[in-house]
Amino acid sequence: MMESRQYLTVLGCIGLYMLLCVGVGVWALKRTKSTKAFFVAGRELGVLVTSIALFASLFSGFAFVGGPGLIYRAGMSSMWMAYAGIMGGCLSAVLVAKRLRMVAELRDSLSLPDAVAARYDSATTRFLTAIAILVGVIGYLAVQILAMSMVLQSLLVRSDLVSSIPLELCVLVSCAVLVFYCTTGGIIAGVYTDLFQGLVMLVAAVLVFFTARSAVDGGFTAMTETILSDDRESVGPWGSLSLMCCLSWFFLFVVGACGQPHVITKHMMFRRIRDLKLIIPISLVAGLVTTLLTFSIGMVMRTLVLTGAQPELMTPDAAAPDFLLAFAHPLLAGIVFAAVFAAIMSSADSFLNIGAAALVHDIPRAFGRKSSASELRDARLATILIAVVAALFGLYWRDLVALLGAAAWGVFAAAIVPVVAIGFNWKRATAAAANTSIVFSLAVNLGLRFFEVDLPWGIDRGAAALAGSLIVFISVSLCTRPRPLAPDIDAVMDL
Amino acid sequence: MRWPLLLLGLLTAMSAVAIAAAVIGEPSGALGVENARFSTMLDGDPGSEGGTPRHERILAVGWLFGVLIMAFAAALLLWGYRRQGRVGRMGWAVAVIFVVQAVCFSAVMIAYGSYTGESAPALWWALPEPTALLVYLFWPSQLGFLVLYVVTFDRWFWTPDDESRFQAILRRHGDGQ
Repeated sequence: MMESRQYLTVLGCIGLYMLLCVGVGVWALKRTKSTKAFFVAGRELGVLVTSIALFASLFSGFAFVGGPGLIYRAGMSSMWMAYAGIMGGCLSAVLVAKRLRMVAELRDSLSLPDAVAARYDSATTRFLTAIAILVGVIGYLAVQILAMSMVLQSLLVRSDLVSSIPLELCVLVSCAVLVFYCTTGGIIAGVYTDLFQGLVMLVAAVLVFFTARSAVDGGFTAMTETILSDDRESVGPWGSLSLMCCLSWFFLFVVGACGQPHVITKHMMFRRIRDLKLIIPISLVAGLVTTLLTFSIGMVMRTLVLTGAQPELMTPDAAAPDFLLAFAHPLLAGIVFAAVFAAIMSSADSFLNIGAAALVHDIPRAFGRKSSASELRDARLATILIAVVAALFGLYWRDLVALLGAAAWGVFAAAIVPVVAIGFNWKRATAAAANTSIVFSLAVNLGLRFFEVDLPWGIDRGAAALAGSLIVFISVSLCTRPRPLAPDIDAVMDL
Repeated sequence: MRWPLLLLGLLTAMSAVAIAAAVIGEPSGALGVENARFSTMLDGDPGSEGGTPRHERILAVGWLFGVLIMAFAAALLLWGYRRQGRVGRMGWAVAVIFVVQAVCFSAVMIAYGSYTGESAPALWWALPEPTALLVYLFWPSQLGFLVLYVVTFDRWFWTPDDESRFQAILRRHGDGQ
């Protein structure tokens, strides 16, 4: 295990990383003169920045903390989320990216609900999309802030720098950096920190994979043999959970990839549509590389605990931090812990941005208010407000946060996939269908979780809500009369 | 109208299969049981209910559920690839990749059928046979969709003609405002 001096190396890496984020925020401040720059980076992003920002936004703290924890706890089950990555990325590119980018340029859309309102010509659809985004954002963001603060608190206490430190103070420190660069530089700061954060995550993933392999004599073969002798199912194709549960995750993550607003909003930001040819493969390959970390840490920690080389973990989520502190060189541990913060912050900055857009741009517009000169200032204030609310939720309403955080991917998928992935490819889709499916998806997703309804064979509730909302959307569209599309929207839907 | 009906049909079939799995019922321990020594780990409990493998009763249902999910995803992809309502050669390409994916998945299911009964499962590149088929065949088979996307991008997904037409739409819309 590390000594306190080595913990200081880790904390130093995190401190350096945070300083760099602040630097990017200051740099981006000069470039953020309008709401278009604040929300969609002026639609001027290049291939590499967009690719890495896409990948970094998708891989939140879950990939670095929750993912290894799930592999440790349930074996290969959660790998089904990873198997969904390539197919989900292709679906998102083909169904969403091109059309969203065209509508965004045509109508000068600043947010996803803006584009949705242009497609359906409906203020109600804009409002409901913004509400679905806000519900997911608060849950997701609160979980991310809480995770970041807990990691910081644990490191500070273990380093002997302090004997104890209140979680509230750690929340304040973590949020201060995040809010600073998001407020000053908006999405420009967000995507450029994402670029840096994504590169840190990639380096960390490769280094950790080889460190994990060498942590057990005999490498992955020996790990598999150890796990196999204890419980062969956990290293089988379904892991410890059920076959139906794994397949429902596969469905949720393949199709749900088209409905994650913090990710698909990036499709409104790149310079030229033809850049999509490279953006998608680069981001998907980066995602595949990062999966190495999730898989290797989970496997190695389960093996080490089974053989008695490591004491049992306090919680499965401790798999990654405990592995790093026990086996990695302090500098590597520092880089990976910085990567953990990077993963969390790269998703959190996107959530803050789309949440602010929903609050100051989409909801007022749904009620007929036009953009005002103060919208940029309001967006900055809204960013701070959302961070404060999410932090308070994280600190004081953890049950609610756990509920919203766990449901967030499913909430976004079920509410947004039909409206965007189907609706932007089908002229017959109606606003009534969009509104009904959003309300249905929120009710089913949150209702199933609130009343703790377990589906048979562990089928994921989000997957059930997604299938249901798709059925509702297509059925209602077929049963209702579509309004004539605006000529420009009709024309781009032919391309 | 046919594509939405196809999607609706596939979704309905998926839901029906999930309901069938529910009707068949799950044995105790189907969702994993706590490891005998470590409470933070879940085991797969292969021998629940008197030694019957927990998935035995739904292997066929699970196979159908998986194939329907892949068919739905492939149909959605193809729907996105339509040009003037036609899928052209993309239809064949996506269908071939879907069949390869479904065959790989079927191989996983067949290998898994005998896996829980084997006394000492052999390892293929550090993984048991069904998991190896999943990781080294099924997972990479999806790369076919990515390769297809990149290779056909300029000829099908976004052609120079599309770019010109889009610029014309932008100009018309700009003039109209």
